[in-house]
Amino acid sequence: MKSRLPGARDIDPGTPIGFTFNGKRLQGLAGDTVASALAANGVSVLSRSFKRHRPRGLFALGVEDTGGIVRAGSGALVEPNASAARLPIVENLEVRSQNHWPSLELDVLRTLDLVADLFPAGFYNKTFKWPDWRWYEWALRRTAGIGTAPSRPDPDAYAHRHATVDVLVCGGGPVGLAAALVEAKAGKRVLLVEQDATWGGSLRHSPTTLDGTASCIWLNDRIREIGNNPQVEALVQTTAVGLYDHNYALLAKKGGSVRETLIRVRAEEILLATGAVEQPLVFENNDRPGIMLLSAVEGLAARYGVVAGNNIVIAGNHDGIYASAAALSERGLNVSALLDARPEVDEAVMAPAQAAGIAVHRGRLPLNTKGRKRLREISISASGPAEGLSQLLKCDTLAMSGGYAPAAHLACHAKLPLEYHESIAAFAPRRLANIRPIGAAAGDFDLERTLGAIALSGREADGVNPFSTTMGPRIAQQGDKRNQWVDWLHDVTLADLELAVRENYRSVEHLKRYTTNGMAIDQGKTSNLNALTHLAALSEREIANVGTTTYRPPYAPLTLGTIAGGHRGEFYAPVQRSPLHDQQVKLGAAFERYGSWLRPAYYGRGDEQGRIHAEVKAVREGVGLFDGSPLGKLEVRGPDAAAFLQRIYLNNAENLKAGRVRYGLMLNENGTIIDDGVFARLAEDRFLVSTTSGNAVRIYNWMEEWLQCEWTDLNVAVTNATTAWANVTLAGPRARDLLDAFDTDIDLSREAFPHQSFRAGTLEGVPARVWRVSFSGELCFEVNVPLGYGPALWDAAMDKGEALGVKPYGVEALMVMRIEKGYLHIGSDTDGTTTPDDVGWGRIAARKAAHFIGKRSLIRPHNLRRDRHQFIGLAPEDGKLPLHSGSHLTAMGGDRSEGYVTSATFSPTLGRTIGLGLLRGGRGRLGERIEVVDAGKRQLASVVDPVHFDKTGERLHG
Amino acid sequence: MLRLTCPYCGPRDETEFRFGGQSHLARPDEGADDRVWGEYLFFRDNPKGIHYERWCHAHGCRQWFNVARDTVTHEIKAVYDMLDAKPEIDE
Repeated sequence: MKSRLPGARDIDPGTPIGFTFNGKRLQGLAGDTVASALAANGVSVLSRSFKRHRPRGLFALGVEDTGGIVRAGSGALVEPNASAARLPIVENLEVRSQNHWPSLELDVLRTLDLVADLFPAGFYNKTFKWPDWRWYEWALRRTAGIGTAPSRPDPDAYAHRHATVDVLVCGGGPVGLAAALVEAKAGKRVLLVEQDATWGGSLRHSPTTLDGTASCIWLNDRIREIGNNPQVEALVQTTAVGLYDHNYALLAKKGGSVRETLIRVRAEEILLATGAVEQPLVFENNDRPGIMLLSAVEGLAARYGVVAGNNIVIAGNHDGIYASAAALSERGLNVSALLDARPEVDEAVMAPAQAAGIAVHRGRLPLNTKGRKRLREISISASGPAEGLSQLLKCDTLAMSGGYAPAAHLACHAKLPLEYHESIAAFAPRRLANIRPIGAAAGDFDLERTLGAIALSGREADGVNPFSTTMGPRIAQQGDKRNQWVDWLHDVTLADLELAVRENYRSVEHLKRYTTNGMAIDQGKTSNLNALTHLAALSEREIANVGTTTYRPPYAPLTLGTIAGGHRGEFYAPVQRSPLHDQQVKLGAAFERYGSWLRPAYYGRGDEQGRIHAEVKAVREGVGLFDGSPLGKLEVRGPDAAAFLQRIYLNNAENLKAGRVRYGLMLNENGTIIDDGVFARLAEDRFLVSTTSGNAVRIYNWMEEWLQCEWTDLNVAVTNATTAWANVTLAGPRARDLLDAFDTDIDLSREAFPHQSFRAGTLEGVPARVWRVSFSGELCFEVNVPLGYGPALWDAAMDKGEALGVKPYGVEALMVMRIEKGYLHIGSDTDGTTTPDDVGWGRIAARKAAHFIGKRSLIRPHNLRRDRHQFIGLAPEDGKLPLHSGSHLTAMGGDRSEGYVTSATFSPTLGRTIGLGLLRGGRGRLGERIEVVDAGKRQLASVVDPVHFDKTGERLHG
Repeated sequence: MLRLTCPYCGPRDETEFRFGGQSHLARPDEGADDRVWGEYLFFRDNPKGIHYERWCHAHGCRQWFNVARDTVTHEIKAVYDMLDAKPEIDE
């Protein structure tokens, strides 16, 4: 490690920190970033470029850096595409360069640079077309992309936080600090965020005097004041990544007790003190290691005490470069020459650099450069048409400054209009009432004036104040354009832009997508403006008329883990557990997610099929116990309850007698089925609606919407009682015998309590609601008791049923049984187009004179077609072959799909495979032989009635 | 993300609400011909400007209400009761 300059702001010279770069052990200091530490160790090449694999070095010290894209960390903690300029070093941090093979120095793919003409803008659309793109795809895909994703799940923790503040200040430079203090003193609650690890923004690398004091003292005072002000929450390493409607902001905060926190902020007012981004110059071979932004050279020296190079040339197009040159020289850096694109410069502006003995070349920009792994020399020429021989300048560092473009990204997210200003040769945002760019972010570069205005009124100065009396060009417009980089990260050159324009991609949005300019992880912070400038010149338009592309969130790369926060793994979505969950755990249930519910799929471990079939057998021959608690239970009450359900259901609700149960279909206004289930009438004005388990909330909301928005004249209240009751379902020929073992005031006899009826009473002294309905096709009692009594009821039923051979059965066994019975499962056997007639309820629908939702749509012409997909059963000719849901159905030898298998299973009861399906004109094709096509394989099946078992339904009545 | 003011609970983030689409739709009677019924089912206004729509405070009081929103600026011009008529709003 080379020795550091004294007085560096961000580092602690007394605390060395060891880290590795490509396996080599290096030493940095506390406060270093990977970029500054590598620079201190004289490492010039940090990465290889995306397409052409050119060596790339440090370019900038902030989010706009394009050279230091590295892989940091190891194992599962590895972070690909990390920004070396923003990544603090920690002890033993492993850093690796990316995008090369076998090594950074010996990258085989650097040969791509020699055949760069094969990869112009849009190359994938034209170069590799003959004879077939697929011949090249494999090889090209291997070279595409930067970085390698970690191979294991991210073990880090991420968090989300919500905040509401009066003022959000984005940017912790001088303007942001001053504005935050003024707002806080006015009594506002302020959140101040800075993306870097340290406060001060531009003051850190270009010291000046403010309010008559040295800027470092001014800065320390402000930081202390803010720390002492309880009205301000000040966060470093916190990037405002996006602004959204109604002053909503997303912030990504690094560090703390988790790796990163996503902070969602609603602010009454947002101040954008995001500063400006220094712009690069465009000339031949402007991408060599050692060529960087002037602010990077200044920052390395002032913040980290690192000398960027032994022989520095500065090139720029504005007044500021002279003061910078003098300041660097004063710090002891060897600045040998200064190039100014402008031929005419005021003597007073040049004076400080000349006084420092720096050779000033006016009217010149670099023409070309040499040096493979580090800049060796540059040639210079007049910035106009070249005349005569060029001059060579030996140097290892070129510090360039094409002026400053306001960081308008966040303003653009918030749809603030951008305007081009000749005086700064850049776009600046206008302000809205409650979102205000301030300082350099608004194009106002007069810091003293801005701070004065903020201090006086709490309001910033108006308008654009340029940083220079005049501006020169940023683009040399000479030499081979194929080697003049506009976008360093995506390897976009002037030649690519010109090709795009020749091919008539004249809209800035098209140009961007065709060349991919500005689409890399820096989102064009240093490339967009130069691309627009060049596009304007090529198409002979004003830059203002060319316009800008739309900046969209995120402003800086955001880890997916941050967006996910804690919502992953078991916390990805809320899980609902039955009140009988513990009972099922004790019985060894294999749980699966069904919608939001965690339910027993079957019981026991291993031989899933065998276990499911045994459960089916138990229900068909004895008695089974099922946890039906997730079934939807909606209570519908009020004088108009019957009239309401009459409209909700296709089936008649008004003529249902108290104590009776009816099956019903619910349609939407298009006439398609959205849910089915049973409903019971408890009293004249009271119903209980049982929805499918996955649809309880949706149907509850559906009913509320109709009552609140459409049928406001109906006097009805709906309550979702789904989770208030536990449901223990007893099914099988011995179900009544089991229930008889309980002490109940409900007459359970076949005559008194027939199929499709409902009784409320008590069971062992506990309120009980008992349905006689069945989804298995067997005699069945669904016993509901208040939530807390559920476990006791379940345990008692298991105990009392022991002599009867009772067995718990899971959802899979139930599904096998309902397929045997041909019972519909909404969402499996129906899709978003299925009407009642498609599943055999057409006549019932046609007979109902009263209005119901979806009725009018049932007679739309398409719904009356005879060749609609209709519900049928399938009997494969070889009953041993499996049948798969989703397989297509064709006529014998046909090649057109005429429908598909919706449900299929091996039926242990029938000893063969059975299925259900939707088939074009299916009801008229019973007995027809068809083919079932599954991933190219065909098997024969007969179209049969959907009811495969117990067609007369006598078992139901038990 | 929008901030909506529920008439019953006050200002809340959009994530607490459910969007219910265009409000003030008149349902044709069942004798309507296929064209009229089809337009009712499938055609909705898509204005550049004020859109009258209904929202439900789904993760709050579960009440439905009407909102007049400028689709260009997302400015909420009015929040009014489900049964109220469309308010007159200058664009």
